[in-house]
Amino acid sequence: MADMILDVKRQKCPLPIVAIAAQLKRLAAKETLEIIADDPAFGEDVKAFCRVTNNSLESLTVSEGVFNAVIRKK
Amino acid sequence: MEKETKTNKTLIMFSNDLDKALAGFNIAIGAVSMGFNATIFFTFWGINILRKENFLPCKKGITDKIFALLMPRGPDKLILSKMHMMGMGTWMMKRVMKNKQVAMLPELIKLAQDSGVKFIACQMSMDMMGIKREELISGLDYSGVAKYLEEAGKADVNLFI
Repeated sequence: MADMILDVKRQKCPLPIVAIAAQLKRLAAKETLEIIADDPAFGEDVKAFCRVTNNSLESLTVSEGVFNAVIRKK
Repeated sequence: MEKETKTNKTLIMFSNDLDKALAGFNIAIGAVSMGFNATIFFTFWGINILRKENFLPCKKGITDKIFALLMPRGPDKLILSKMHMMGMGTWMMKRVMKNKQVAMLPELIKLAQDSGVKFIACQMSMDMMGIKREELISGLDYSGVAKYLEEAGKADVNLFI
């Protein structure tokens, strides 16, 4: 179970990334954030976000157009 | 997220087309969310994006007044660079954006300012078009080409929009 869950369904680029950045600021190091999103670009965007910000993308799944991602704050 | 800023991104907002402004603000907001510093330098027509919506009676010459009247006053008045179709295209685009929950321009400008995108207004363009500082939104820096070049020199992405 993630430490925090963020639902950004129906939000379009760049709002999901903005929301993730804001939520991660509220988490302590090593805590996890689960994100639920349905922006079709979200998969690639969340991967790039994690690479650039050095946070670890623990999992990324997609089913029926809905992404579920878990990020562990560095 | 740790604020580990690696590099900066700068944008030159030259245009006051709605579509181009949307793209520019999206990129700047994305950049600050990913921990970069982002600066937008507003010049020439781009100054109009920063104008307050309400008409402000200022002391200025007749040409400046005409200029101010002919140019869009603020983000809500901008039009598409293509398919404006006497207002119908822009109206339709705004409606589609609303329905699909794409962030609208005034919302993006506020988000950009709140998330730390630095706005610089080109003083020379303002003087040329007769736009006064009190006609623009707050939270701006005012400067010229040297300041922009200094910022751009620190950046690895620099877009002219």
